[in-house]
Amino acid sequence: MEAMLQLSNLHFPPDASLLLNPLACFGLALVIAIVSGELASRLHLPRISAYVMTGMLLGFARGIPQLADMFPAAHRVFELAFALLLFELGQRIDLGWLRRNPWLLITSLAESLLAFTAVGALMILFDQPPILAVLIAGLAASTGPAVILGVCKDSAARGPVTDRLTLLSALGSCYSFVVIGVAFAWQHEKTASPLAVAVLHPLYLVCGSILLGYLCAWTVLRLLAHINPIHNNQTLSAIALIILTVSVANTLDLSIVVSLLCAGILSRSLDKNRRLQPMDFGLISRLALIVVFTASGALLQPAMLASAILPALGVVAARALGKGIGIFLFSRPSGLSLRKASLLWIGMLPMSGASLLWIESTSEIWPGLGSQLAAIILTALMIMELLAPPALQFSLRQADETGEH
Amino acid sequence: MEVLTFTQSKALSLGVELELQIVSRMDGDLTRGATELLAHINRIPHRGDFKPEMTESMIEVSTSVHQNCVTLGAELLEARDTLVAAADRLNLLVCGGGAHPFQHWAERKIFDTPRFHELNGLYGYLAKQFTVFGQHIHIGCTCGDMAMQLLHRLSRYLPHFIALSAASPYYQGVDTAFDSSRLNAISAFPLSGRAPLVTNWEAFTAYFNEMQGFGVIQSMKDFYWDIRPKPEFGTVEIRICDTPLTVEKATALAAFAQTLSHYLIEDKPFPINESIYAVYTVNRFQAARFGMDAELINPVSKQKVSLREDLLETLSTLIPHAAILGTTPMLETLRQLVLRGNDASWMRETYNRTQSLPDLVWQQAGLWADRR
Repeated sequence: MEAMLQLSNLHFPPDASLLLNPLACFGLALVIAIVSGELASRLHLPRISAYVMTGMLLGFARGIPQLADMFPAAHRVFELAFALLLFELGQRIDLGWLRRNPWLLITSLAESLLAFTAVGALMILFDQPPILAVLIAGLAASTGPAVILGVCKDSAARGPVTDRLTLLSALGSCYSFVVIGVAFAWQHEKTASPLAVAVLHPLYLVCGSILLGYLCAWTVLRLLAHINPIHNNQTLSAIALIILTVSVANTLDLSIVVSLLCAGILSRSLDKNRRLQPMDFGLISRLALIVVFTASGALLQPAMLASAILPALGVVAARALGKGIGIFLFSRPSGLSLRKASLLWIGMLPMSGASLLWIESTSEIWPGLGSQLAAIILTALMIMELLAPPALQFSLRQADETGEH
Repeated sequence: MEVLTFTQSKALSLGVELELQIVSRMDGDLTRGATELLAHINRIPHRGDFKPEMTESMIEVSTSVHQNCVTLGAELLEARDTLVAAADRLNLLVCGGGAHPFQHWAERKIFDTPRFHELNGLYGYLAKQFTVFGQHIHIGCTCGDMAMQLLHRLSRYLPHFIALSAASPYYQGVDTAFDSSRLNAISAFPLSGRAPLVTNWEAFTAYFNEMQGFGVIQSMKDFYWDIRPKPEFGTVEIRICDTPLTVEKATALAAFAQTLSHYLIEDKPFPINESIYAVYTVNRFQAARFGMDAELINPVSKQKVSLREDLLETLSTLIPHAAILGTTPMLETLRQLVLRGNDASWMRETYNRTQSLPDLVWQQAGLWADRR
């Protein structure tokens, strides 16, 4: 009898339901994502499209009780992987370019502002409350930095369209953040929070996130100056610091997107002697891409699709229109031909996965508003996660900037 | 049979072509940007002629025809400023140097023109490995006979041009131990090397027609010789130099070529015969490998000489000719270079200080833009 008990402690004979645990599912999802990514690449489609689809399949497992823990865990893993990608993207950005070519700043402000206005106006037309319209427009105005980085890396893209996509998507993410911060302030005021909260909270969000980014960049530079680059030790230390920064941002309720983007940008611009090269996180960044897109696929809920399909399609169309006008208006003075401007426009269509993080923060403070926001934004995001990556890859190929021969 | 007409041009007139690297500000690697740079430059008034080259990471600037090096230098400076301003707007860097220190040739894309695609088809990986950057100097000749004779006499000084201009010690991420690794990329082509020993235009035309008859070449462009006649321009084209790191050095090299040609045409210091070429490849290798420290065999005196000493002696011989052409200050620049070290040694010193090839590229771009 004693021997039997011990055997069952050792899970022998095994119970099939044990395989249905979050870790096993995560591993299985990774394998499916990698294999389907390979398949997609053979069909000349971007790998990240396959990752999103895998995630969506995983999303159907939402009802299984044993996997209840998996979705919050997926959120944390998503955050961490997203942070890595944002840091990497930040390192590719040269803010000095805006000084040397001010038309780029104008293009960036114009495409974001016009997309914001178009989506906002449409939401008002759809009879949405103004605060919801602002939040939706704020989230829809930016372009997904992780999609840009993922597809550009996947196709080894280099060139003027790639450079602009990277820059504009990073700037757009920052504008989005400011708009959402202000919208939060507005909502605080409406829900009768004390004025101090309405003013101080957004200020804390913006300044705190930038400061955290600066501290991360400063520490990365100081630490890495003393670490031998062999055996990828520099890269590994940077990753360790990024994980630390994400955890600090979470604890202090700061924005992971802005902190890590700033950390990336500053770690490059503060490196006067160019001691550190833009870090390529290599395998780890590939893993991060798989995780980000599988997780974002899992967090999308296809069930919502029916309820919000019309406004979501409206969001997709309005932002495309706004971005298009902004990009075409200033393409010539900024040094891009009309043809390449149209490719840039197509490339700028992906929506930002950062919305997933914002929806979570909104839901934590105002659950009602959060679910309304989720319905429209997640549906739009789902449409764009499926359509935008192949479009982006197409535009990079047409611009002749991919490394494929 | 095609008659190869040699356009008459003014003796010792000169022009320069420079092939330049387009690199990314992000990581110093070669990047695609020639199309945007050209489109941008063509929209603004500018001096110098800008052209695409074999890959999207290369741009060529050529000057108009000049009689003296002062105006040539001024045009090159203006063209440089135009290019640097355009590159700034497009977030690109432009730099000199004979080869990119760490680019991987497999990543290069061939510029989208039929000729470049044809070359890619014929030469395979050689075409992409040909992502090397040279300075071509054209010296005007009144007739084809003069061009052929000047060409052969200039061949004796080929090592001098190599050592003065060498700026490609690093290639594919390693120190090649050569001062000019670029020359090794060129030597792989079947029609590289030296022109045949013919001393008049009629004989050269016969040779050209024979090669064309074999179907080996279609036009003069297919000869990748170190020095070749360029009948449509009426010039001798010296193609051996790495693109130097500064415009001033590019001008000084052109001044050296012009002054040396003046000396060779006026004084005819040695006869033209096959012995000039007996040690040609050995000397060429020595200069590419060791730069100023090369040991040459003087094909005329048959003596072993140090390239550095031979160069200093040559520069002294050229003093009266430089006075006539107004190239004295440029030759003084070169004399200093012989004493202090060429671009290849500057690149090695810089790399040894920073241990970073991307940083080296960044500093090369700083030198080119004159922002130090």
